[in-house]
Amino acid sequence: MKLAVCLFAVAVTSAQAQTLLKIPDSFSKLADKAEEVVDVTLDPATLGLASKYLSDKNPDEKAAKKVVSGLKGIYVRSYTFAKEGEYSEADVELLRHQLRGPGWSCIVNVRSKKDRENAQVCFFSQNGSVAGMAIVAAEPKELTIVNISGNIDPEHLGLLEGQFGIPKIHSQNKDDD
Amino acid sequence: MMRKTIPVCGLLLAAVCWPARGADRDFETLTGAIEGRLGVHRTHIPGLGVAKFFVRAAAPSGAHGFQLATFEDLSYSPETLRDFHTVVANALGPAWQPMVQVQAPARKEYTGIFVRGQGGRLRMMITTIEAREATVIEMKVSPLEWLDWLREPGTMGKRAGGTNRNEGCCEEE
Repeated sequence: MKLAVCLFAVAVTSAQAQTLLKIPDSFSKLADKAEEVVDVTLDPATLGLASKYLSDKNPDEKAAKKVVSGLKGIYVRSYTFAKEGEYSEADVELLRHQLRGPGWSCIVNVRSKKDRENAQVCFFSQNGSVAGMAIVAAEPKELTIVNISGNIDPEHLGLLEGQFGIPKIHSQNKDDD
Repeated sequence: MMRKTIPVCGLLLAAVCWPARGADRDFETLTGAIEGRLGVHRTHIPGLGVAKFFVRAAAPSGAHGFQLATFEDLSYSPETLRDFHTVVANALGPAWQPMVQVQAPARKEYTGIFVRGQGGRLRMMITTIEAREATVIEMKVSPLEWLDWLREPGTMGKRAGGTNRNEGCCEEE
């Protein structure tokens, strides 16, 4: 029985780990070059606080609790540079490579030729439901990585945009000229 | 019976109050760590007690119960800020969850925001350094207020400290 519980805990932990992007070690050099680095970490303990104290009796709090309660982590890392060219496609590829791993599928790619922006939205599926999400948004002077772990209701994705440092992106493929 | 009741009541009272006292020391511990790290002392703010009263009266359902410490005329190297988040985290201890970290070493700016739960409300500890000034603010917020603060985590420190470079306030000398 104890062995089964341990194995289950390992399996759950391992599954959650698959939904988490690893920030490459080389990004510490990007941080040194960046004019500003924003690091948002809402780990299970922090999100648990919000979920614990949000009331079901208040409609606004109940709605917020519905969004937050299924989440196990929200991680945002944003690098802002003073000039263009401070990070390379190779840097971004280190992230995109992880999103080509098992379970991940990138279904939304938003590209703006005018602003030279590229945002990729990827989902991690497990047992038929969405268990993780990642956004890599690359602009000439800004690189933003968003990683959300937990049960994500696709209906709530729009609610998360613009919150917690998560960039607003269009929800359909489009090229802007 | 009465002779046994009084010591027991005293122990119960201490058990209830002791965690609160420990939690109240967090602010002082953090400001002490900042003083040690940056080699400065807190700036006296006249009328702070009166201000606290009006904040509590004006925002009964939002942020209240705040503590504030400011440090002025700071002089330090940009490298001092590189591990400043660790200094803050160590001073607060594991009860506080790190939430937001904003670093801009070239501008000598840092914002660190930590949170912990207490009595149905959330306590936020916001440390902001901007060039030659530093501010530490602790406040209690409702969960909705906390989520509202999180909408723009990159500017939380400036919102708490009341400074905004775009408004031309507090420009570097």
